[in-house]
Amino acid sequence: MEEIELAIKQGRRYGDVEAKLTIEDEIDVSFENNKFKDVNLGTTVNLGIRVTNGLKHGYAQTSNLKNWRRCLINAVKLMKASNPLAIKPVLNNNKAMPKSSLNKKIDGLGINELISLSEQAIGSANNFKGVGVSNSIISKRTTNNYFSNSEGINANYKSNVVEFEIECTKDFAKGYDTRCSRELNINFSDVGLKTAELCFKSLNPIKIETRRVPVVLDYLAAENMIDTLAYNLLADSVIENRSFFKGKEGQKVTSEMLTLTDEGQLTNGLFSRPFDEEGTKTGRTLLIDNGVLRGFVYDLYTAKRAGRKSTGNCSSLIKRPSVGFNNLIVKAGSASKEDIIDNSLFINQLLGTHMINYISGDFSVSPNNAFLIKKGVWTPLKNIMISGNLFELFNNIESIGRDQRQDNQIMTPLIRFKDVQVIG
Amino acid sequence: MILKSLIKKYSEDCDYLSVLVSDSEGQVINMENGVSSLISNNDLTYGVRALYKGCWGVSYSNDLSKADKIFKQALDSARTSSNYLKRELRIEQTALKSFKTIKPKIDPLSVDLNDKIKKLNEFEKSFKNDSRIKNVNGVLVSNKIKSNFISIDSDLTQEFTKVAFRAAITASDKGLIQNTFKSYARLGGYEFIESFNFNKNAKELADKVIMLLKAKQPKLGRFPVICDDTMTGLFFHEAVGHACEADAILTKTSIFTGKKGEQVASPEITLLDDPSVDDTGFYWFDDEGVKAAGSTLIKRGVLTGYLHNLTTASLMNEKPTGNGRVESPSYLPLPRMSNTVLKKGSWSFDELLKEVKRGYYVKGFKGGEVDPVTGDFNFGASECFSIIKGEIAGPCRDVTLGGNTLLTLKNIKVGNDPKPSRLSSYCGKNNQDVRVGDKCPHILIKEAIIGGRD
Repeated sequence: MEEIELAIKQGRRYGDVEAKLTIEDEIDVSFENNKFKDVNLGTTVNLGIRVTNGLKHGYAQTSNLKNWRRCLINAVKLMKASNPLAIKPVLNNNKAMPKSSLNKKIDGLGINELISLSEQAIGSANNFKGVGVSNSIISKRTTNNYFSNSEGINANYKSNVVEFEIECTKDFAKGYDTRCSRELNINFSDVGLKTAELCFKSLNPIKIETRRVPVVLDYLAAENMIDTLAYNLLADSVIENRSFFKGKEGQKVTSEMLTLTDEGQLTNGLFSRPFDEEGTKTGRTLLIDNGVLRGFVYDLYTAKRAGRKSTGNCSSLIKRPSVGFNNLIVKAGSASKEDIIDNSLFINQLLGTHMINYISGDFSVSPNNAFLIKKGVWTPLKNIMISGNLFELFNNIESIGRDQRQDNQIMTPLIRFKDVQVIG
Repeated sequence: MILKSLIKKYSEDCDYLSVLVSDSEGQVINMENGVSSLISNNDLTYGVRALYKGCWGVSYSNDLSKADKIFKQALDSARTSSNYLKRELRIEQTALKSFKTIKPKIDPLSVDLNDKIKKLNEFEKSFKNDSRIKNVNGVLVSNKIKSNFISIDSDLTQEFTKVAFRAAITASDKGLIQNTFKSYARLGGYEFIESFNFNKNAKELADKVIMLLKAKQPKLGRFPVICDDTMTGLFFHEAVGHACEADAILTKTSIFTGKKGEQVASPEITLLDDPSVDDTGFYWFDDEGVKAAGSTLIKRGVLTGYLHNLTTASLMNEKPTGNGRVESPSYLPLPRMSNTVLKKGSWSFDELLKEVKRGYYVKGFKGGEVDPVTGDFNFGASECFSIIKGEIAGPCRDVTLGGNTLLTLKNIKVGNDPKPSRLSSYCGKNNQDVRVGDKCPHILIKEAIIGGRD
């Protein structure tokens, strides 16, 4: 793109320059009360420029490409005023192989096709024992990414994705699910049916007494807890003294059943990308191996500070450092869903996980759609909390499911924990 | 000008046509342990909304040279929509022309960057004496947003300037790690930052995080709980305000569905949504060009009103309330709160304390979530103290407040000391964040779940 080439060319006189341009086309189709509601479509442009000179850096962003020059000047102005970094940052100088991964099936979806896919889910939910679909949304997003820096790196890739959310209600019960795919392998009727079933099973919940029980986290709840644990695996958390795992490399930090890996180039992984926000080639990083802490994910800055190599995990040019995951994968275990959930408190979703003190690990969160399951009988529970310590929780894994699912950056199976405190 | 002429050009082709333009400029200075990240942003987004046979079509872009195409796209999608949805919508809107602005005394974007950096450096230095403090993160945010709503007979512009300071402190001692967070915000200019006492606030935050290191775990279970003004604000915003949003009523995902006119809360409770209150949820017009008038949601415990955008007002045959808001013109307006206001009650703080034999006092919040269908809530307290025999005793850490909204509302005593939160609060709904505020007093909840580590 002409604008980023110009910004790099003009910016060289001020120092090292990196520019990232994202152009995103999106169609959202919404449904309400079992019916189509509205359509929203458009394009969003974002140009970000980072200028670095010696120990100083500044970043500016604009949605107006014609303003690229002003954006560059702003970045330079901010750079000049900034406090010095601890070390001189480096720019990526290895060309990553650009890969275009537009899925043709997704590319061909227009408004009418998106409506028809959602109607499959809504139809099957509506056919289940009087359950209604209160809200649903389907989105198709196509993103063009361009990256350039003053080391001569020019790279780009495209990706597209379909996201689907459905919320079913009946009386005072709710079921919710979300699916996201880069290959359109979502079984819409099945998602509708399962969400309606979850809603129906949640009717007439009962109270229970405070006690300790085995807990199984369903996909969405497991994603939330893994997400919180994973803050401690980011190199910037470590450098800034915000990680419980600081200084624990090589030590056993969780149950040996847990293996966590970050994968940047996983086929059809939702967050797979050939290169990260600094243009560094993405790869595979082993983080926790059978319970032993093996490493962290790095961007160029944190890697240099730690005397390591970037793992291709820069999440943004906005801040330095800025580290995030690509696809964070919990290794599958061997348990079937039926086996893992029996005789447990089964939790579909958790409220309040974003408030967990991820460094100390202490938590108290409220389950949504929680059930006591005994010999295949599901009893819905109301108004409970589970509490404990995140690190103790992940040391108390009892078993891990064999089927994984990915709805965001985290791909996880079901996870069963021993002896969790439930407040009734 | 081009947008006005396109409104004229295409107005005849549909039942209603409007465009919302947002032109914003901002600056964020993030300082973590002395390392700064300086960020500037400059955005222009416009969104066109067309109504055809009761159906909306929306299209948006950042590029004004493509405006004609964007108008056509909005019209086309409204027409396509009308193949799938048959309904009638009546757009009830008064023609308005107005220009409103919050004139800052000092434009925060023209202040010397070195002055801002100096303030943040000094803030950080205040923590240097205590080796238990491991991480200090200060963020100074300045924003200017100009929003322009245009329809065939309305042309409204409102300009807002906002400054905020956010701080997060982490401390550790003997293997225990604690953190604390606070934000301070005003709609207005840099004069707020000039008058802000960084040293005093740094000391308060340092004291608080060190206190948390020494704090005990709470006793888990059901207890009477006193909430300070900000936790009360969070509860009434999240658990009650959202339940009054008319889209949730229409989809029957609110605990208040079908309950208008019923006693849903203690007679001590009168709750308003009021965009005119001087807190961070202030505005003159909503994003659909409706004058912001304010609404009474609960009057002496009786549910009296819902919050509407143009669509929900028409579908429920009620008046628009000026609550149709968007994060950016690229979204459809949803019914959203502005400032949540709980009217002053009769209890002084000391009187509320005396009511509690064994319970907790929660101050500030880390965040909160509510299941709108069941009304179950979970709020994280920033600080918590146990109350023993009507007196505040020792601090507790990592405390969560849980319960069910409908049960809780009936068991509340309302304090006589409301004040605006002045936090940099944003509320998220359907992936859209809008700025909100509140003005609430202390309350006493007769029974709530206190969670924490066992």
